[in-house]
Amino acid sequence: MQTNMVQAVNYIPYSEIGNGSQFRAFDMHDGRVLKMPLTKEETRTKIMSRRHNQNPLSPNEPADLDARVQTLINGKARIPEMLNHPFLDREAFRELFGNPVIIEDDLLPEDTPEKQWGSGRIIYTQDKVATVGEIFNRLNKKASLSQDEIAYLQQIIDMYAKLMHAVWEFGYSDYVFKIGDTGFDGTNKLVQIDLGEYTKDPQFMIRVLREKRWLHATISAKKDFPQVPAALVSYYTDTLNTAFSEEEFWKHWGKRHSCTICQKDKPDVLRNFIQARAAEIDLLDRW
Amino acid sequence: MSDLRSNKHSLYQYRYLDHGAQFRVYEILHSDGTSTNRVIKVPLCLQESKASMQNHFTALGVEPSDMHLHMLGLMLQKQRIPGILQGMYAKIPSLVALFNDTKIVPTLVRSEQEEDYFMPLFFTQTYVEPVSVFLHRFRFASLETSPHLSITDVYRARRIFSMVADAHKLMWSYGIAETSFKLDNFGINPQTKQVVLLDVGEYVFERIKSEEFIAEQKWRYSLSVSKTDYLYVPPVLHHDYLKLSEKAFSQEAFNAAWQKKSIRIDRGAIRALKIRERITRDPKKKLALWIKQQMLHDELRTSIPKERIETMPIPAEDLQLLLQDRTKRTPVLNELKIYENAERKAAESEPQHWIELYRHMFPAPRQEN
Repeated sequence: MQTNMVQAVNYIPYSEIGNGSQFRAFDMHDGRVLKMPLTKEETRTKIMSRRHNQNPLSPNEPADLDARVQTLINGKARIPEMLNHPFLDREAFRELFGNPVIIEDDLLPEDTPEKQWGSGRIIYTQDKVATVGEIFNRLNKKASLSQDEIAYLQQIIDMYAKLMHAVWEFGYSDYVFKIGDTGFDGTNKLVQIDLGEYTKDPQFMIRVLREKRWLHATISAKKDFPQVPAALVSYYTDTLNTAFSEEEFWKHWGKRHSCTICQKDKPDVLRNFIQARAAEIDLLDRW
Repeated sequence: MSDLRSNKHSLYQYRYLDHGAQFRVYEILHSDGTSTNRVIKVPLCLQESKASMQNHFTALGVEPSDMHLHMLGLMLQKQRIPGILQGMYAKIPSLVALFNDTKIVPTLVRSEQEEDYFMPLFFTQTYVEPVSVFLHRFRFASLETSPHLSITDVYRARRIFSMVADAHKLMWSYGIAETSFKLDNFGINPQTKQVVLLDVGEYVFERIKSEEFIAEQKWRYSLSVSKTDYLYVPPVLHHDYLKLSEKAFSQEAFNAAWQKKSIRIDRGAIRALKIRERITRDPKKKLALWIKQQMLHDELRTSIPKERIETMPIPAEDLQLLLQDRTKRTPVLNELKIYENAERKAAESEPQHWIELYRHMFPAPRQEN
């Protein structure tokens, strides 16, 4: 049997450290993680087995499974456009996401009936972080929190609001608002780590803000959202309801968006609209 | 003496020792034929693994589809080995010794067949004597009629069973549970005279799963004639093995040991971080130290240290040669298997009658020093 030997002198087996509904994360043992996309079937299985599949803030109403799977795949497909957007200050933008680097080569095999990635064939590396989700999960096992712990969690919530504002200033936004998908990097900066649920459509974001999706972190039935410890629910709700108001959104939206292709002053509105809509791939429920 | 023609520029030669369902094992020799005191474990591909387990599954009447699933599980099990070579498990001297100084060979191999190698990994370990070698002297033995045995041998056998039990207890104290309870997963280090674990891929970290394995009492399979994938303890030692194992592998013993040492390490590390947190005035640094405390459990158990990476300069060409080695050979310890199977067969029917008969057919094993 033929084997191809590839000598990688410093190869240490990458250990799997987590997986969501879009990516599997591997520790590269050098301060970075590798994220490999799940197939369609893996995503479907993950959603069915782990999640309480709900429409926004509805306690009972299940969302359409196929639509949800396709939305998650489409979310992955949008990642290259976001990360490769020609911002004049691209480094500052990428720092907000743990310095992700897309692996440009198409290393995944072609789709087969058994194994499909569809348009979500994105592989990237990112800084390794201590996730807020993990911190919440550990604290939720404690009977009660100390005053110091409450103060630290309030700090984290404040940092999360500032992080979202910073991303808004570049004209992009997370539309899931899962605080558990942020983490502290090696310099103790809070960054976003889930890149697969972003949009640059401000009208869609206004709809999302009205739904207050961040409150999923206070609904225990929403099993895919790491839950805010009970002692912080009130602070979390008040702080983020204010920070993620429509007023705050428009105050920050696109303020730092300087790039070589988007020209807001250009009078050709129709051309801009067509280009922007064509970049948004999915037409399904974006959830 | 090497029995595998290696790359002529290589520093090493390789002597085939044995194979299981997951690895072929070779002794690593210097180019002059002297031992390096290390062995290399070369991963089997799926087809090889299936072939090695074929007879066992056929004897059990396992359906081919179930066998395929079981073999895929075995292939994945090899991938778990690096998990035990991380964090504190890879640094605490007693665990490093117990895991037989297992190291990862840092070379990547790619196969053209997708499910063939599952990211093949090579490992090295210290060259030790399997427990089956020591127990061989007790085959077809009885204290009355086996002049080659002395009471010292019996004490040594009890000592080995006791050391195996202590090995499990040591792992439990760090929150690790070996799940197979196979005696043939252990060897004896000739220098230290301590038992070591040869197969480090069968473990769990979760208490609930560990308790399930304890409840299964798999250690009893070593007393069973039908469990051909477990080393059959010579009947003359059954009483000692049973008496020791019943107590050592009980739920009470497990409860008393579980995570006793690892929790102490966690608490000490957290205490040190808490002190730094209290004396720091910078709020950002305080938060950072507090976050470090929350992540400490994982941090102490992840990341493979460089000490677990093999530094012997084994050429890639040698690894390729070893991987492709399909030469049919008789394992070095084949005679032991023959005696074991004969004793298993004898015990199946009328033990006393057949043991006497076999004793005449099989000469008493020579005493090993």
